[in-house]
Amino acid sequence: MQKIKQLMLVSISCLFFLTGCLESNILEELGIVTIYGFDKAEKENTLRATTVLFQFNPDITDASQIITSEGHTFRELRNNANKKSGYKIVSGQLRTVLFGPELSKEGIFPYLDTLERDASISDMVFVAMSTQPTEEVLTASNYEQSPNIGTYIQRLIDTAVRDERLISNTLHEFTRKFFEVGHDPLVPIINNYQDKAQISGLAVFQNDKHVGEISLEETFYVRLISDKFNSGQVEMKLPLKVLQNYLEEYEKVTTDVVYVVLDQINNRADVELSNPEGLQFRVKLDIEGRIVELSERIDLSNKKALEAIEKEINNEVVENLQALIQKSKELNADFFGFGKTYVATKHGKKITEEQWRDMYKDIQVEIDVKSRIRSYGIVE
Amino acid sequence: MKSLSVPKDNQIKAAYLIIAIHTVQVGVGIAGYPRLVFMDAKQDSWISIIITGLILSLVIACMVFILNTYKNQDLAGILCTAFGNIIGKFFSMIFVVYFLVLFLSVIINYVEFVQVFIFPKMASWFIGLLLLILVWYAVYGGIRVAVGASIVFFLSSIWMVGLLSKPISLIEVRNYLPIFSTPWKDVLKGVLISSYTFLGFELLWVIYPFIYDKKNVAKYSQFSILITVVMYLFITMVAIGYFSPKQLEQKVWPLLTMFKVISFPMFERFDILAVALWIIVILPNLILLAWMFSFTCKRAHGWKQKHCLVGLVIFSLGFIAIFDDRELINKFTDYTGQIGLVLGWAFPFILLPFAIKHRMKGKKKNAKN
Amino acid sequence: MKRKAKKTSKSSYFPCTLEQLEKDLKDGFFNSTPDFSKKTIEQNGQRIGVFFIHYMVEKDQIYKFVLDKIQSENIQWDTKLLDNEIPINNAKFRTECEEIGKDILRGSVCIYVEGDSDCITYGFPNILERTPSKAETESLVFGPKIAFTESLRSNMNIIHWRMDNSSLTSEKFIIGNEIPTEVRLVYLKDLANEENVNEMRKRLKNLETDDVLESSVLTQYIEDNSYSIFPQMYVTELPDRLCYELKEGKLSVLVDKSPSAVIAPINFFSFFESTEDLYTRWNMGSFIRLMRLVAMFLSVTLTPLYVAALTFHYEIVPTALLVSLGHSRSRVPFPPLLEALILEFLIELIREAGARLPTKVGQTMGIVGGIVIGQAIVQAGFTSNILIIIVALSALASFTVPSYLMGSAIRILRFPLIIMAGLWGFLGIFFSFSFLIIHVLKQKSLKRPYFAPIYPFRPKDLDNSIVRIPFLKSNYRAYSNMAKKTKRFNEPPNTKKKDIEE
Repeated sequence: MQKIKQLMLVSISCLFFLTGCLESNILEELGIVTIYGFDKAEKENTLRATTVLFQFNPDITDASQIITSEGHTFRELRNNANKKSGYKIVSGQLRTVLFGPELSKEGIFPYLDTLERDASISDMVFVAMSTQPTEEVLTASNYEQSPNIGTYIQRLIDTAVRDERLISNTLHEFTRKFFEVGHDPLVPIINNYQDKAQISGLAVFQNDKHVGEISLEETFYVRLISDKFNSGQVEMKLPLKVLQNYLEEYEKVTTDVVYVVLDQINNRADVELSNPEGLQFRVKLDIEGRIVELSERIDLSNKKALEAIEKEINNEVVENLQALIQKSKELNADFFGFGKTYVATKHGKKITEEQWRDMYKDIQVEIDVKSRIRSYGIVE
Repeated sequence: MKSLSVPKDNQIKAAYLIIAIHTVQVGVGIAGYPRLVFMDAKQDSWISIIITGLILSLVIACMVFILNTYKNQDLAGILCTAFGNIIGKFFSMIFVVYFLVLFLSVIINYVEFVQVFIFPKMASWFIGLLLLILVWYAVYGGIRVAVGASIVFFLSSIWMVGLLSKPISLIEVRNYLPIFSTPWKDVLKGVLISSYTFLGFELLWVIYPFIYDKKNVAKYSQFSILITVVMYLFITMVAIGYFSPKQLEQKVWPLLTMFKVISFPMFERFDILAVALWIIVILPNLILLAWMFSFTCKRAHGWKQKHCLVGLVIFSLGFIAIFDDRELINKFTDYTGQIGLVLGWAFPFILLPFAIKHRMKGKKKNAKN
Repeated sequence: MKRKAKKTSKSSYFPCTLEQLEKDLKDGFFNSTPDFSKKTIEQNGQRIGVFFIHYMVEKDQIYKFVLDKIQSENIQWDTKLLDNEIPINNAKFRTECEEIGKDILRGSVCIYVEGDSDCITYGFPNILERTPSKAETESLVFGPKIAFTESLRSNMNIIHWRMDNSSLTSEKFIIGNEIPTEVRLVYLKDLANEENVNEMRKRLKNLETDDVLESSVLTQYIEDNSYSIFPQMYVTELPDRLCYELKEGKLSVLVDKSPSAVIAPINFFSFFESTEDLYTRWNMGSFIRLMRLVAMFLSVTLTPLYVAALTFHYEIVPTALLVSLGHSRSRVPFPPLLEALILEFLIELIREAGARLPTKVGQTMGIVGGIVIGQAIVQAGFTSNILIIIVALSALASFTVPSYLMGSAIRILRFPLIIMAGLWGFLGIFFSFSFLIIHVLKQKSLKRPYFAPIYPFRPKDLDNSIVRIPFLKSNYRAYSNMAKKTKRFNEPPNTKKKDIEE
């Protein structure tokens, strides 16, 4: 009996170790992709992918590699790329996907969907686009001290998002907005300027199709409504006329505008559907900030001066927001997410994406801004 | 059938029920649960969950009443007392099969996790073997080790809930609105779909004779249900806020997908770790179910518990080797849920009249004496 | 009178001639050893023989108290008179040759007046023992430094000095067929749990072996599960540790000829406690205890995590590390599993060599091994430099465990874990971890749960095992010790102020 037991134990453990031969991914044998750039190829229905990857070699300190390949599907692209590399190409360390201009116009969701389905790809991958062919962007040779262009672009976007200069657009957030009725994504545009990749603005997407652009400055106003600021920063142009009285005496006025820089901005936005039938929205906006820079000397210890500035800021915000909303209506891309509020407020039958697109042109938004300037630096 | 007298060394405190019942309930189901309930009840899923919780609380109360009536009896004993020896044994056999089915459904679902997320090429039976070795080793130590394992594993996995703070920071509040807009029929459908995920409380049937302070059973088992409900509610709510409605309907395992956004400075991707770590979440599940299976088997047939356990391990291994198709797994899970609806949820109420009768008889006897 | 009655009942060996006695003793016990000394005194026509082994007795004392006495007084001696005249207690009257032989072996001197019906033995044992010195394996920075020696006598002396408590009980057992060794079971009668005492007594009594070498060997004879890698009884060389545990209601076993004592029952977390935690302030003590637990955890997980991440789960490596890791790995010709095993093996070698060599050489060994080989091995591309850091860290971490046995257990545990990680990645790691947890849960120490304050869960015991709280607040003994009295002392009066200013 004892012998049989021993025999069983030995055979089971043998089996154990024999079947243990798994497909391994040993780090230095991999080509680790950090960024993909997808473009349309010349041939019909084919894609061109620019793959930036790490390949580790003891003798070469620069581990970065760039491979372009063509194919119909994501798998095929990867397999074709693998033909040009001695390393097994894997995308578990993917940080950014970049789409070229034509693809963005046609819709990028099919490609994102394949990425989403791959369990090895993180949901924190940034989705970005470029108005130039991606190969041009990814072959830019200046990527600071980053190990390769992929990590550089990721850092570029990540820093901007953390500084609240951008609206985060990860794979998860993009698909979320794509599936949501009444919310459209904004995608950062990365372009190559003088051999260096830079953020040049935000692309407005209608679902997954690129329809327009807004500037980085305008992003601030989108964020005011659709996101939260913890310590944002903005520069505003206010007319000098109203503030004329509060100027320090020694100041000689040469312009008719004054630039104000606010930082440490906190905001609170309440979007509500005030009239469902008339599609009227009311946005209540509370902004709190701190003046750090003024282009002209204004006596800030004067309460009235502050009030006047606050009032001007309110006007400026409302003006800018209305212009942006107008723009979004023209593009018919609801990047503020008014539709989301509409869906959340209205009971009864759910509306579809198309219905909301039809309705969106007719919405009216009333904006009510209250700004407050907390303190203004260490010098009065 | 004789009532059980458990030696004091083998008895456990009723307080352990809080975690033991909770850990049998929470397992593979929780990873896919938010989606299932959302498909029916939409943003009003929380109503479904609370209703399920209330019903469950009633079921547990009913079970405790029955168990208190037949003192020191486990399920097999009660069945035999209520229905007579032959029918009773037949019914306990059904329960044995039911426990087996629950056990298998947990194991094949976990195998699928591993294959999808980390090791697509790992053989199903091999992952099963790893699990079964642990189950065998733990159940061999008896009920104390089984409960101990459930407690230690619970303590070493509960911190994962805290990691959801990252998905919580990405929640879109408007996803919860408007409330009360789902028709009642759909909410009730959500209740029905929840029944599978909440299964496992049948542990109480079997573990009852082992409990040292029986008067606290009602309190602690209800408490355990509360924890489970709160946990499901929490995870479902986070999932609903985190995903947009259509997106959630596409995710097979929303919980694991939510882990995909978590990263630490030294640890870029938590989801890979989470799937492997999930072994700790499902082990108590498997261990307690295997214990329930082997013990009830022993009680119903007088077979040795050891042999029942070995039988279970060998059978499961074969089963896992055959079952590795996703369609089949889903079907199997559905059937398990339906069986559970009868044997888990409805059965206590079927047994209730017998218990009342038994209690009346006991009272009459007392009166005569 | 009793003696006489006894004598008549047996067919006595005595009387005999001195030569006969000498011959019998030599043949029967000492195999004609040259160390057997005999001195014959002829006086008044009497022949008196004095027998002993010269290095087993205090010779000076024999000359002073026995030989001097006999020679100086000119009287007719007999056994009784000897007993009266010689000013030493514990005289034993022997009538059997065998008994005399055993006495002489234990350092006694035998005096026989020829022709008498019995003989007398006195114990003058000359036990060579080390004076108690500083603890070596469990050294403390803070607190008493004295350690046990190899002599049971002085160990008991130390314990009694430290604990002048009337309930301190010690029971004597003689264990070993070939080499009988004295074993003492020591506990405080007022505190120690009866069941524990009975269990330990039973185990000691039923133990049948040829020889108990050492107390750590004794634990291997009487522990609950011989197949586990974890020690189930605490072996310590610190009297203060022992006395602290006795005071907590535990038992201890001391073995003669062994410089360490056994403490039981014990739980898993006791192996991470040191008395130093008690001597430092409570917050420092808690921190250090938690740190040790974390260190143990890291020591067991770090290398396997490295192996698993580099073999299967490249996704989890942070980008910042990825490049440097990839670079240093690309030189290495082995898969991560082999790389880690080689390095772990090397570290174990250095440790073992350092332990076997004399202290001075051992230190040099450490430096040579650590710095020179470490440097060379990376430059030669044998391992990646990050692995060196990880392995060194986990080796260091394993040395923070106060118990040498537990530390070794942890170091050895790493190897199967590394192999599992290399075979099946994270799944292998968590499989092993689950296995370990179940294994620890199944262990018992003297039939008491081994994983105590966690399972069975006793939140009130946490302060006596995993953390520490101020002494005034922890006036209860750990419940899992099952001491007879759980209260250490009465609660101090509440001195909390009702308001800020009063």
